[in-house]
Amino acid sequence: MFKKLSILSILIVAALYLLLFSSLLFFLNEPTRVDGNRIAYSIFLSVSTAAVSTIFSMIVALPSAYALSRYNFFGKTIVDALLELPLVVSPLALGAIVLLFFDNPIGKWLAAHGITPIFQISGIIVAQFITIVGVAIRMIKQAFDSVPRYYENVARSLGANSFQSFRTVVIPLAKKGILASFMVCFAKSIGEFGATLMIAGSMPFKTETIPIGIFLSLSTANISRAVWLIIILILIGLTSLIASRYIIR
Amino acid sequence: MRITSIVFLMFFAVSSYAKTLLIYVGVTSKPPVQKLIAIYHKRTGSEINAVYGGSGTLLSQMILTKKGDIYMPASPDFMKLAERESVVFKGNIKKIAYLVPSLIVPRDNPKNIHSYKDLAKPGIKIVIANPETVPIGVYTAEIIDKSLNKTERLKIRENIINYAGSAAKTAAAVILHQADAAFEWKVYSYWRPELIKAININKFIRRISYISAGISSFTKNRKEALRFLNFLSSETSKKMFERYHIMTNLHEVYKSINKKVIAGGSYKLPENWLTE
Amino acid sequence: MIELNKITLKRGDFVLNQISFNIKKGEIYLLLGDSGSGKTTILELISGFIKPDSGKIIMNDNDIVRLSPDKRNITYLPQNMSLFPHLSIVNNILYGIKMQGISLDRHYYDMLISRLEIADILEDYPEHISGGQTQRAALARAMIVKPKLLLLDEPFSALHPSLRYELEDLLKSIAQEFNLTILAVSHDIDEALHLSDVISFLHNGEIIQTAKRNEIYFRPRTAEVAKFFGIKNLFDGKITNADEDRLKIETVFGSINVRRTYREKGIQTEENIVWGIHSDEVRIIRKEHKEVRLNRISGTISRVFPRGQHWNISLLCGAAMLNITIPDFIYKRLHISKKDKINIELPEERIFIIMRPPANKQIYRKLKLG
Repeated sequence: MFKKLSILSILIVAALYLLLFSSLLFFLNEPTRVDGNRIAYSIFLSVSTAAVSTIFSMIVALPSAYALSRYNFFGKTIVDALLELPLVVSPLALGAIVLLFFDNPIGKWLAAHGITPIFQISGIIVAQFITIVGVAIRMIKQAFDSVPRYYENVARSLGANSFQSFRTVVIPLAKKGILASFMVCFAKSIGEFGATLMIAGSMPFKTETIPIGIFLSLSTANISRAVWLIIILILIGLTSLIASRYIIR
Repeated sequence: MRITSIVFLMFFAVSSYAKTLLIYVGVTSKPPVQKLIAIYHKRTGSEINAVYGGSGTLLSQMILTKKGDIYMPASPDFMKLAERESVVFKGNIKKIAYLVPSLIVPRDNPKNIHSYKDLAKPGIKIVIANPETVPIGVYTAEIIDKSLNKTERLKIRENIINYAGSAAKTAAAVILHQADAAFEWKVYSYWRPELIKAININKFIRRISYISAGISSFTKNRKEALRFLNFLSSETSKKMFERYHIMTNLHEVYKSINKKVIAGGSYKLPENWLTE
Repeated sequence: MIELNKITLKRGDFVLNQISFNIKKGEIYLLLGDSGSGKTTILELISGFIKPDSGKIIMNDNDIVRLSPDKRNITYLPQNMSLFPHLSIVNNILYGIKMQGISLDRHYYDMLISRLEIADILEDYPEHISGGQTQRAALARAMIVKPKLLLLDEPFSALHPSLRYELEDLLKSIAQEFNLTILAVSHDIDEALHLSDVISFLHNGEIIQTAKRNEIYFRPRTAEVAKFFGIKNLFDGKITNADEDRLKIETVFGSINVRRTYREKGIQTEENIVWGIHSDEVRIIRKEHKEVRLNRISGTISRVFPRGQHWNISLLCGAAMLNITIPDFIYKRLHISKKDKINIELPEERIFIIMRPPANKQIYRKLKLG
């Protein structure tokens, strides 16, 4: 009885999402030429910045996650909590923090020397990076946690130095978790809005990512463009998430 | 069960309270309108809920949600659009106060911008309001399009680093030093003189704008909306706008910019504005 | 070859206390003890995965305590063998060679492969091979780098007994052939006795006794060791006479004689001791044998029950209970049953003496080492 009810409830939730998604098709019109170009630019911008920020976060997350998984060091608990902060602090607040940083003396000095992500494409990458890097570290840490310590010990005793054993044993054995984390971070980057709006701004043909595009389209009541962008966002996100599920399996 | 029913009742109490009006106000009018709402509430007991933002964004919200009792944009461009989209009733639009475009820079003016032409220098960071959704953005686009030859225009456009979502956000970009200069309603320089300085670009002003208000066609309480609309165009209201340096007398506006230009009118953003 | 010198380590409640022992080249040395006794920790110390608080690990005259694991040339095989699941068997075997960047000794490799009989599975992946093959492949992987010392953590405890004996024999013969030096840890008495040359018994982070395997089995030095080997026959006694080659002890069974060994050097009369004997060393005297024997005791059988190929007999001798184990075929010949009165003999050379620990623990430790 409960089994049937529980399956029914999950099917209802799934049906609700499907209904919501399919209702979008009702608003789908052929976009104007300018809208078409704008949509294409947004897709290109979102995919490329998300790829870059995901790769950056992986580069940072792999050693960081390993340290968290394997070593004890001063302040580990605080660092661990800090990483979860982006999950609970809204992206808008994170973006605001970056903005304010670039209005303080250090930030101003950096900006004066041309180093500033504010209202730049690099700002999109910064925004995506700060919102996903904690997630990346957490997920990869879990993947590393699931690799038993004895494999590394054996590798070390066979003459592999610590980096060799990391590269040839830990990473291959945590491969699935790392790939899944990559896909999730990519999907999350593509969907990033709040921090991007704050840091990179919202200029068409410059910093208009897919979510920013949806926001701007709705600001001008351009429903057709919004719907196109929403559908594309869903498709990219869904593909990444399903892919990550298959990878984990 | 009891808690659910209380929540349920509260929900309906708020949404069906007949005297509560929902008004959409261009963000530049926020300081006086906030005060006016308080005065109105004291006098009549009526609750007014206000949403502030870029006038075009607000219009889109009204279209998408089909809600609102009064629309109060910062320029007639968007009021005309609202009339065309049947979001406001024609014929009862109240003019309230005038806004003058200007150029603003941070008080310390790090890039030494003293004239409109300085904006074309390389490396200047300019923020403008989004010309699709914000009144001052429309005026900015018009000034850039009409006052300069193509090379100068392209130089300036190259320096534009962001479109802000409202007049208030445009000013914030200057205050936070994200921009070296921004086109903005002149009143903002009166409000934060310790942070913002206005640069005289009177020569290039083509039109001045006026704040107006009209009753939304989505209203469920036209009588109450009309009562508040009349209050917004009353002498009390005008005095309140004047207190915030938003002029309500056209002659004084002309005197302040040393010339006579059209108040109102509209400007259509060229098709190639985004791709130029 | 390798010597641990007063290795001490404290981790929370767990303490390794002044661990010292010495492994000779070509020896199979075994650390025996319950889980939690510190066996695996000692292996990790020797491998270099953890550092001791104090003490030295000396290998070929050098203290290697500060050396990182990959520089020690000590190969570690954990309990589950830990073949890398993402590498084929051949790549598992060649792993150490590749990491160290040394060239492969082809002749040695071929010899290992054929000797360990793993030529057929070289291309397979670890999940597809059997338990025995896993052990052999892991052994090949460990040996290919020609380690100075091979560390084995409970190497065969997870396997079926028949396969286990086969592999233990293989390991012993290979160790001899290739002159391997091995340190193994185990909690399994059979494995310990079958594999090793020398055994150290570890209890609560301390080495209680180190001896050749026969000695530790037949002559445990403390009650802990005796109990670990399943010896139930432990009794109090008082020395009444200490000759050069014989001791007389006053016990609950009356006076018994014990052959004296080097260990009872300083023993004196009137000293209180504990003595004991393995249950399978107690001999039952058949009724027809009438001649007088040393340490003859009579009692009543209170319980008889089978245990595999053996029978356990509980014999009530006055106030004390003696445990006896006899093989099935002898049991059948004896025709004994519950409530029978029988005579038994405690062979004097099979009785071991445990000296009472003095109240001062420091002296006691010296005594054990001495």
